[in-house]
Amino acid sequence: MALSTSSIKNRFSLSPLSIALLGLLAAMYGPLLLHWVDGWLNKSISIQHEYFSHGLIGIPFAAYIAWGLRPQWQAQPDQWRPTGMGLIALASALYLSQLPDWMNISLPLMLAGLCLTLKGWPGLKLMGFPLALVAFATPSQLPYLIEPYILPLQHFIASVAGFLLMQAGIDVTVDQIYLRVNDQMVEVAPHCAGLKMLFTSLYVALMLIYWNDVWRSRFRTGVFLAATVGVSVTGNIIRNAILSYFHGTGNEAGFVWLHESWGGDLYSALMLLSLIFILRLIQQYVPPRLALNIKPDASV
Amino acid sequence: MSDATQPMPKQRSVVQWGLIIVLAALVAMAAMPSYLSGQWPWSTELPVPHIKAVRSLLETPLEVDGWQSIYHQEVPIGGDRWSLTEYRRLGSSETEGESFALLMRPQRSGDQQPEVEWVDLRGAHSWQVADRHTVRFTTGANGQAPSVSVTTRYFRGVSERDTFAVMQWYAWPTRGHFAPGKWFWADQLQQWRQRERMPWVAVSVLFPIEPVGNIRPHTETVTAIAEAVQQGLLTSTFRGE
Repeated sequence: MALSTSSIKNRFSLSPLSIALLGLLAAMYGPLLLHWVDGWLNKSISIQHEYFSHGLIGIPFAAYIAWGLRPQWQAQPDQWRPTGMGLIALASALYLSQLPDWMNISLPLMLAGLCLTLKGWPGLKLMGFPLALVAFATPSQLPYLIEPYILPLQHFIASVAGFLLMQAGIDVTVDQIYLRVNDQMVEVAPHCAGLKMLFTSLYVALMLIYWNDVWRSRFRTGVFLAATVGVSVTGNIIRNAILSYFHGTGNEAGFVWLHESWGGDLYSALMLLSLIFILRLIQQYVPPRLALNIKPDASV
Repeated sequence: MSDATQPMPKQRSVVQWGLIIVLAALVAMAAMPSYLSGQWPWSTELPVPHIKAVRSLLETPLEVDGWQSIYHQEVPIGGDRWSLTEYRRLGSSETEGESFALLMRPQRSGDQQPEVEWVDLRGAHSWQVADRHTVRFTTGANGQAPSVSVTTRYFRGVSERDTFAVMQWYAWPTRGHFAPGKWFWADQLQQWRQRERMPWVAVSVLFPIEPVGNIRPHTETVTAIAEAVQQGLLTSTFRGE
């Protein structure tokens, strides 16, 4: 049995070189990660940074998955790719720039580069999901660059929210992205249009898809992601309608509660919880693949 | 998948040692100084040149060549601070002289970026927007300022009370454009090259025209005003402290 003990030992202990690599990575990126967490918890950096606050759960989850994948990782044959070296060089250059925006981006690039350099493409594929979780939680200026293009979404949300309020018998006018109730104006700003909520929902959906092995069925994955976008947009229409109602009827306390106090967080949490139920429903009622039972010999 | 895979003996530790050397060099060059000084790149903001002069636009009206400011006030729009200045053409009579209004949102600190200024302005004025198109111009180079190209959005804004030919753009020292994304990349370039940020001012020229009139006949006049405004910013604000 000596053989099996030594193989177990090999499987579960890290070589000194690996420990040194992890230590150096921690020295490089530890303070940066602390800075991210501080920004997410205290909302002290910028609105753009806040868009990625789902990293608070996503990055630990990614670390947990990667740790669990160690046996498969060690079973992979060693091979290295020039592409990996390229990524590491790029990540190093960004890190050396000492510009915070770019140092952030250096983290996922460095991790992907290390996977490619140590285990080649199979290694990158193995770690693909945790790497994606880290990449999608890396604060960047992407939301800033996207915001000008979501004006149609803001317009759509304002129109539907206005329609809903009208059905409830409230006198409301919709002007572009503004809702006027009793001469009080509410702007459906990019941030309020639920871009952040959409990002967070999709991120949580991604984690659920992995956790429940839904990714094995492309069809179910597609249905679930579409449902996620639907829930997120619908949720924001309702939220904006309620906000305009509060603002228009002078219920400032209600407005503040739902807009920036814990009411908003509660609303988001409920929306995210509903994703779990939707996934259960999909797993129960949606077939893994769309199989059209067409009998070729059926006569017309 | 094109490059060949040849697991070589000892290759593993060679690659790992190589990686350790690279990461150790990065730690020594970039992280260690921060650990020792306690100063991380994100704990101090990059400087914004001319920020004082830019901010002062809220208090003092901009000097525009050929025009005289007759009214100046700070106004709140969309939760931000804007400066509103009215100008009359120099030498014209008080009653029937040409005039225009200039609405500017100057950057006040490094963490402010151009965002949805045009939407805010439109909402604040309840404008019905028509005939929107882009107008480009280039400021003439003079001894004090280089020539820069400016791309503006130009449209007719009709509210219940008045009709304006409106020309809008973000001004910064090397260019002008109505799209925040253009400023963003100019700012990034400046960060890499000079280790400083790119100051900006959101500029909106409001030229009153006949009620629900056509803006096309006024394009030349409004462009000349816009050029004088950009020139004013280049020669005073973006050169000041």
